[in-house]
Amino acid sequence: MHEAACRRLFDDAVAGLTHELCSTRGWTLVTSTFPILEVGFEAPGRTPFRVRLICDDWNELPPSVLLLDGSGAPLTTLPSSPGTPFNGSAHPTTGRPFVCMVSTREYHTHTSHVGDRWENYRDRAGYELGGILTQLWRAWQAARP
Amino acid sequence: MIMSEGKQPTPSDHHLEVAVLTTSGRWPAGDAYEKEPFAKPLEEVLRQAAHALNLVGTDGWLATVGDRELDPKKSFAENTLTGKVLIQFGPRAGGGGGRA
Repeated sequence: MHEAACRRLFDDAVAGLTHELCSTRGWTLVTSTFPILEVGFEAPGRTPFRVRLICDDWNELPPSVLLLDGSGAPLTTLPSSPGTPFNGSAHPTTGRPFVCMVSTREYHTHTSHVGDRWENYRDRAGYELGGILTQLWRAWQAARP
Repeated sequence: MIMSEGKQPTPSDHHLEVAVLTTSGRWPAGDAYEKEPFAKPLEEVLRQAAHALNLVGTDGWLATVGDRELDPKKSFAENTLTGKVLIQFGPRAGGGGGRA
């Protein structure tokens, strides 16, 4: 997709991440300049956590999701979080821990899921950038600190 | 902003004020709140909000106030919501391949 179109879709999507929404969810909007959407998640008693969505070619492709610590450094290990999409093993392409969740590039390019195509989801409610962030946030809430 | 929960409504309280917050927008818009009767099922308001925000396919989405999950099938009163309430509404934790 043409970069200008991707940028427009990105800007439209991040417009919904208002101060009210972020502050009431404990989100810190670190950056929302195309093609990077980086958001920190914080809650009392929890280790701060960030996700960086790399949205080049959005929404022809789903975002690549990088897991970061509270300072923005990439995580090299993850605590065990059964029942969540946070996968501590090395992704075949990135070599890093990754989010094995529908709507992440790491999921749809993993050899186990190439048949579950992004095209089946991208026009559905909850699979826009804000919805993907919400899914990640809810997964983080459910994970152990 | 004031969010009240857990207090049983009194006979003189017939309404509360509600807003629904999603990453696709807020209902009602701006900083307004909608006055709704306590007896109204939450799902009706969530449906109204989804319609106003052009959201389709929100069945199964999660509605919370603070850390508390709400039951859309129940009324505001049954969900013990009073006063001015801001409801977070969005998809649940993502599914997929899970762990290796």
